[in-house]
Amino acid sequence: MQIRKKVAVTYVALSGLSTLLLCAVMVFLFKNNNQYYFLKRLQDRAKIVSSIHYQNDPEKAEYYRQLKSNGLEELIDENDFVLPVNGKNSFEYNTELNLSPEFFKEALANGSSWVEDDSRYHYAQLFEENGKKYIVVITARDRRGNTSTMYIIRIMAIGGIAFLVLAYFLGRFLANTVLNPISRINGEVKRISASNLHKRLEQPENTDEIAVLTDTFNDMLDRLETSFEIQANFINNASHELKTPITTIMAETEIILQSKRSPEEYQEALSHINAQATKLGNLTESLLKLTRTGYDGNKQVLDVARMDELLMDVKSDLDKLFPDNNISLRLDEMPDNDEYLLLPCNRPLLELALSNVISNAVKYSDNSVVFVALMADSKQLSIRITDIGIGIPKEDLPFLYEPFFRGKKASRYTGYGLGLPLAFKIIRMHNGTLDIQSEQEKGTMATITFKRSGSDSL
Amino acid sequence: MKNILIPTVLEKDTLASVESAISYANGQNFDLVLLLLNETDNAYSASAYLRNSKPAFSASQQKTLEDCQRLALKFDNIKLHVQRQSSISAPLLRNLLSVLEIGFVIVPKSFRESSKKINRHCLGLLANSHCPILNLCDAPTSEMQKALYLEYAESKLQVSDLQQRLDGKFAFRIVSQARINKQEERSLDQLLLETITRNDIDLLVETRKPTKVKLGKKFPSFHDDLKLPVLSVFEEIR
Repeated sequence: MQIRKKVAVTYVALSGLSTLLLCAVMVFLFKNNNQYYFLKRLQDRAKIVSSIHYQNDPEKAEYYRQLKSNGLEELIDENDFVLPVNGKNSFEYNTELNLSPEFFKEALANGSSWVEDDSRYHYAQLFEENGKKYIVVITARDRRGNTSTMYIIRIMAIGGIAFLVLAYFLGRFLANTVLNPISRINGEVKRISASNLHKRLEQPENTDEIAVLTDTFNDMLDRLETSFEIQANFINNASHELKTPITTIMAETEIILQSKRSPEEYQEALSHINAQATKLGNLTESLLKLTRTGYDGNKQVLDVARMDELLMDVKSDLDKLFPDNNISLRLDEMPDNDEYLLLPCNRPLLELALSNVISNAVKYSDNSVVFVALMADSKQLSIRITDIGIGIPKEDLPFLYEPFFRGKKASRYTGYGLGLPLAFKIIRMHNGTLDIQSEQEKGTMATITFKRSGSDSL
Repeated sequence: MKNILIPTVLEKDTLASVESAISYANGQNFDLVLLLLNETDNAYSASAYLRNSKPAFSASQQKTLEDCQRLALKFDNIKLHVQRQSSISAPLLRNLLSVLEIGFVIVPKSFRESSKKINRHCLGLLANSHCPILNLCDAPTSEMQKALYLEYAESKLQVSDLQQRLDGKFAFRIVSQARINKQEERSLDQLLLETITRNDIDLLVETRKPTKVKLGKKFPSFHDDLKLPVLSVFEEIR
């Protein structure tokens, strides 16, 4: 059964049940109320009959009789009986009354009693006057009460059926209202395929469950798109980027194998091959690491690193790669409290990210001075990398984090356009931000910030 | 420096606890208090209680105590005391820790595994005290240099805050951190073992919050498998 139908049926069933309960309670209370007022009327009559019976003065008795017949509303089949009580449990019985002994026993014991038999009520009340006891029994038919009860039951039955029909339509309306956003999401998701993964679901303005679901879908699409992009980029660009070193290696080996060479020539060729193979190795490793950064960081066991130590390690690695570099590590804004320098992280990956950002600064500033400043306080830890290099053109800034993107100016420098996207992903994975400000021909300032608020883990 | 308390059943591992305490003290003067707890039967009078109580040690317990005393005598900065308790309660333990000026508690594995009701009750009460507690394992190393912080999902104490709190009191450094979710703690076992081996970790650090003392069935903790001492630091409920 469709959820839409289920919601409608459940709504009808629940409303039907609650309406039925309400009707039952109302009929019960109505009937009780009718009974109460009818008995009240019988009670009034019993009192008047008792007064008539005990008046010695015929005028007064007549007055009461007149009051009873003219002052009170007429009852159907009304009869009254006065039964003198002789002893503790005996009284003068009237044969016209066909009532059970329990009825009289209760009247004698409690002072009053009543019984209903096919809408005919019998009310008995015990009176005492001048030491003499007697039971007054009033009998009458409550046809009107019965009729009105039947009438109200009919109204409720018809109303109930009408309400159930209405509830069915309301249920359908409710199901539509609840499920329409889901149908909308379903329709939108159906339109998204591998060819248009950049499309996103329209985000509702409120913050209800549907907005959360939309958000979750969009997040999932983000991850899917990234993963597809990486795969597509790998396949599209690997042929371009990996072809160069492979072709070089093949050409080098073909040439060297054509004839016998001197040991120096072999050595030179092998060193060329080695350089190209290293390049190839680095590139594939970068690509693999980029794909790995999509892992679930919450299940990681992290290293707790001191950021100053980590930066020093990065600098010593870069010193080997770029012997002529001019990196100046500025630790003069260090906090008094060493603990602020601690950061739970994946140390090799974070080292790689910092190394990529700093080596970019070194590379694109032609070994001019690069300042690396470390600042930390109780709220955040930040690293600012400033160079006075070629800078980044404004039009290139939005594409900086796209894998394999190479800026116009950067094309004369060696690189694959993988370093910065990788660094960005790693930093984001550590709940950090990478902010790049740049002015062409003046320099670039990259700021990496790790917030310390709430959870500082991945 | 504050004094060190070792609740014990005088098994052989008490000696390792004393060694750990000596190593922790690092030459400073302190009193080492061995806490021995006895369960007492109900007695109708004081004399009946004295007649029925069995204060004597078994031969192996006596030997462990003598070994501990011998070890303590080698160091001038240590004074060894034996505190015997026949009952324990939260106010009693609080006053005891205050009077003995206890700042650190070392719990040997044998005491932790003791099935005696009074010992288990004492462990529960100690867990609610503010003192750091070092739960020793089978074969603890006396030098503890590198620690792995087990950060529970409900904990509010970040690694920098914890290091700040521990600084000056302990010589180790937290080099790794694992975020533990109570429901999934077992799934991290392999990763934790790898990290412990890779980073030469010799101590686990965790935080604890005050809980109601229960004497029900004891479930094995997930870090029993890691076979490392665990330093438990009290975390205030904020």
